[in-house]
Amino acid sequence: MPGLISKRFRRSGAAGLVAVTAIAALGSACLAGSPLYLSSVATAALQSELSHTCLADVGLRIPMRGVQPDVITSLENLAAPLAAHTQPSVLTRIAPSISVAAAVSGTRPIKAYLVYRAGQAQNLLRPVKVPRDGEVLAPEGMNPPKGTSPGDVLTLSVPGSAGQVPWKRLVSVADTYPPLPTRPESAYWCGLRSLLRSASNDPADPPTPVLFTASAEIRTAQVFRISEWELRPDTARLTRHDAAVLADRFDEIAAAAHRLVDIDEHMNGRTVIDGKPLRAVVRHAGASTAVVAGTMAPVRLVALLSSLAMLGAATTLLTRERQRELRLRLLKGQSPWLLGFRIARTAAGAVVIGTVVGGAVAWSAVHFFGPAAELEPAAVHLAVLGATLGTITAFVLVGCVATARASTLVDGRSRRRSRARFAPWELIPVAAAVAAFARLDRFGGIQQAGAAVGHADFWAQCFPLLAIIAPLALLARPTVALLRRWRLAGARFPPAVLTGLRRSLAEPGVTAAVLLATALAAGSFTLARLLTDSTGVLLSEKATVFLGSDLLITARDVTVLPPPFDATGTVVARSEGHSGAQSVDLLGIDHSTFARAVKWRGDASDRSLEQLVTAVRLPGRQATGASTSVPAIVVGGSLPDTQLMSLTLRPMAVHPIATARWFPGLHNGAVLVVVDKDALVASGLATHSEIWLRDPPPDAFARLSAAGLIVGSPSDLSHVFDVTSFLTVRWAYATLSILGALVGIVVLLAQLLVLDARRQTRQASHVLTTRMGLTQRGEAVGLVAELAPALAGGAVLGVLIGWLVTRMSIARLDSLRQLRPPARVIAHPAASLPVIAGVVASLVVLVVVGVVMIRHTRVMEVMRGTA
Amino acid sequence: MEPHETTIVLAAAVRGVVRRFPVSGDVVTALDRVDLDLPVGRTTVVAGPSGSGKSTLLALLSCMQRPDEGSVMIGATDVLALGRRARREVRRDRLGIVLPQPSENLLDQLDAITNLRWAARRRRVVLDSDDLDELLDSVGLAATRARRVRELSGGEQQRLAVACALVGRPELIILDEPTASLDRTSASALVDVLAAVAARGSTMVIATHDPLVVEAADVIAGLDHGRRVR
Repeated sequence: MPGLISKRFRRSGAAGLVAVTAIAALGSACLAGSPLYLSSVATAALQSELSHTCLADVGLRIPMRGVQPDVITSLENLAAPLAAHTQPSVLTRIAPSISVAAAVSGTRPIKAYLVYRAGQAQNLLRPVKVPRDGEVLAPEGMNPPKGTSPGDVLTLSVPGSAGQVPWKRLVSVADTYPPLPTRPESAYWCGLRSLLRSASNDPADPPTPVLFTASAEIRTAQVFRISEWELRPDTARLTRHDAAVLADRFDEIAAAAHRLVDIDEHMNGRTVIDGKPLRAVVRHAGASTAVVAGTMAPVRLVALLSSLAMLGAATTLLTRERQRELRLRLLKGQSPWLLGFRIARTAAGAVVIGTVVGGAVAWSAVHFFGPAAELEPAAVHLAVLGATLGTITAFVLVGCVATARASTLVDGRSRRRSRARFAPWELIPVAAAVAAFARLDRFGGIQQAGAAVGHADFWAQCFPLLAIIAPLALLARPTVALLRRWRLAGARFPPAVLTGLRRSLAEPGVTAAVLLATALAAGSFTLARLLTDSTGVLLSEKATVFLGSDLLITARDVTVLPPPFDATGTVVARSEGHSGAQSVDLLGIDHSTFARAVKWRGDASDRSLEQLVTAVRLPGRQATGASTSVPAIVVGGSLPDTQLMSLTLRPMAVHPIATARWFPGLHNGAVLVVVDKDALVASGLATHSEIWLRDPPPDAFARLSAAGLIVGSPSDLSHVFDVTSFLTVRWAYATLSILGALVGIVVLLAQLLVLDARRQTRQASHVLTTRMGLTQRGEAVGLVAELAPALAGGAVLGVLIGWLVTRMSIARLDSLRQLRPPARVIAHPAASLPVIAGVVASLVVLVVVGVVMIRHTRVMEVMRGTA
Repeated sequence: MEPHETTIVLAAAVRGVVRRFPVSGDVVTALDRVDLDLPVGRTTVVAGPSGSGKSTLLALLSCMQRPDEGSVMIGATDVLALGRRARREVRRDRLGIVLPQPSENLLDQLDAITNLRWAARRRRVVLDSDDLDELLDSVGLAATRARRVRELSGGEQQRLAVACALVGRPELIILDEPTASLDRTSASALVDVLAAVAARGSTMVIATHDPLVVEAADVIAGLDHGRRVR
């Protein structure tokens, strides 16, 4: 019989159970989602790091003396269990100081490296003919001035002592390969960058030529000193956990290699690489995760507390729905604890279903929309553990709240309102926000490439959330007081609007709570969006000012760019010197092409870019020399002396005609003097050229190279900043968006609960208003008038607070203040669209539910009081 | 000649009870130093207009609330001295309570006989089918034993509630406005049932302003604005 009763009563508590299910799902999504999201961040950070790292540098490398086939087999066997997360091993043979003689008259033998690698033709900048036995690939431009062409015959020899030649072969050139650039760096050849690039990195200073071969004879020739066995991580589906395990295994294999192999580390830069570099990448990913976790911690706390509060409210609804039954049972002598347990038992199914659904939603959201799809086993275990603990907590909370509510139904002690309500509790979040603001610049934020990982600072990272909560806390009491004062407002409105408005004003506490919670949701969302947009633009602006434009390529003897680069590019000349004791950078610009190749922000100077460029232009082809003063723009400081001296003590006179706060090409902490390029070149100072390209195609470097320009060292945005730190900041701000969405859902659920809790009153009111002639449309209008002001007001307030907080904090969140330009708020009107859409959708849902609720009014039951 | 003294045994008594409620920042005194004796085997009616404090007085007697001042005795037990568990046991074992709304007294998804069986189970009384039928018969519901509560009229529901309250013969049956939501015919039928119950020697206290019920009383206690008026 008790089972029968429970089963039948469960039907009557459907709304409460639906609410419990939804809130349990919300809590579970939060509990399970946090470790999953952090794991996803860790994996994405690791993959981002690895995508900007030469995999050969973080893989395993065992350099050995001569050829040791048995040893290599042993190493292959040791590496076999790691096949899931490693690429196939690579065997490299390096013959340094080999003599190359071309069968062409007038050329002298040169020194070169002969490198054996199978599959070497892949990953070169353009397709090349695969060399067969007896063939090599030679670099373009070897043996200047005639160079080397496919089909040329070369004599390779290893010089021995006392004029002996222990090894000599004739080979033909299968094909030539272009210079391998720094960016993008070939993932395959990057491990040999010390051979492929000159120390000066000057495009006019080519490195010692490297001949590639795949000849089996070279693979086994004893005459070559070095063999290298390499094992690189495979980044596909590689999680942080996998990488950490891989690093440990690399250590073990390297340790085993020290016992098994005759290791040769004599060649410069070719030493054993074990698990340490990979472990450093794992640590870096861990630091990124710590930054995101720091922002997520307060967000998760707020979300969990909201979920618990909502679960308490839903349980109250559940007990209200079963109030008659509970009171009857209490009158018949049953214990409130027993009734609490009964309610909890009834809700257990809802809690479990909600937990499973929430966990599944969290997993799906992170898997499909998170930074990385791969999740670490430990994170999944944590998620399951969190969800399980959440289920138990929810069960206990439902039982306790139900017991407490049941205790008040019969023989409850009368409650006295505590004087504590007069305490200024709202000052706590305000004080916390002020304290957090003071620490704001301790947050690592975006770093320049090569800088230490940005650190997490819990209190600093609490600031965005506290800065939204603090003003809302301050507004709470005045809002309630104001609504109380307006309780008779709207007398001139039509009856439907008046009814709805007065209904919301009749309960100022509830209305104020909805308004402020909506503001919290809208504020969090807006703040996250504005910070993300502003950070992205900030990064782009700083990078373009640092580089000059979107892509910088060093060049030699270039004056004009080939099409299509002539439309979006410019060639500048740079030099260095000093003005008195002040170091200065000199930038020579081409007035005809400069403006269209760079990005300009209006607040960089009081004058426009066109005015500045025109101002430094020399009138006609004016002859310049040390004594001729040229017009100059002084950027980022002042000149103690207008007579500049180059590093080689050559003078150049300038007369400042304008100043600017920043200018394309300005570097950290330097004073930049911008002059006409022709004037700079003519002054006789040592200059070097740079090509600046705006919105370049991905293959810009290759195309410029193919056009015959001598170019090198391309640099783009990822060269200036640590991309992972930028992504980390975005991931951290994303948690605020998630909070906005969660609080929005909580507000909607709370509104639904309030609607359901007032169902009887609403239905009774409907019976009355129907008799007074109010139509169903009028009821809908009344509902809009009741619900819309709080939702819309909250959204507007939230957006405003989000914008103000962003404005207040953006400058201090700029971790690259030494780089110009300063941060600014980027507020696209579209940033508010999700908030508007959320408010409208919530309103539609609430009005539909409200209308459906009153459509199901059973008039007779309402009049008998048994509804 | 010594005057003959009659000893009246009381089933319950309240002495000097005061009950206040906070309302919109103000305090309303629902009962102001009220005394009431409920003699055993008699039907006492607490009469008075709406808001006079009848239901509050019965709530104190039912151990559903505690007064701010005064004492409440059920038999020889000072129920205010008891803890919540003991007061619960008093409610369960010694009192039969009927609330104004029929639906508040019954589990409305169950049928009539199951409600009775459930009431007996709560009171730890073993009743066989004959006992249950007899009880239903005594309130005129023999023909409706298998009907669900929702299928009963308001009057039938209230008579069923009285039957449930009678299970186990409690010391005191407390009825709060039992005819409040009934029509004249149903109220009359309920009064007949209550008269029959009283005739069997049960002690009842009924809060009402229904003249029909007042007529059936042995003792009438008037309340107005929280004070005894007769």
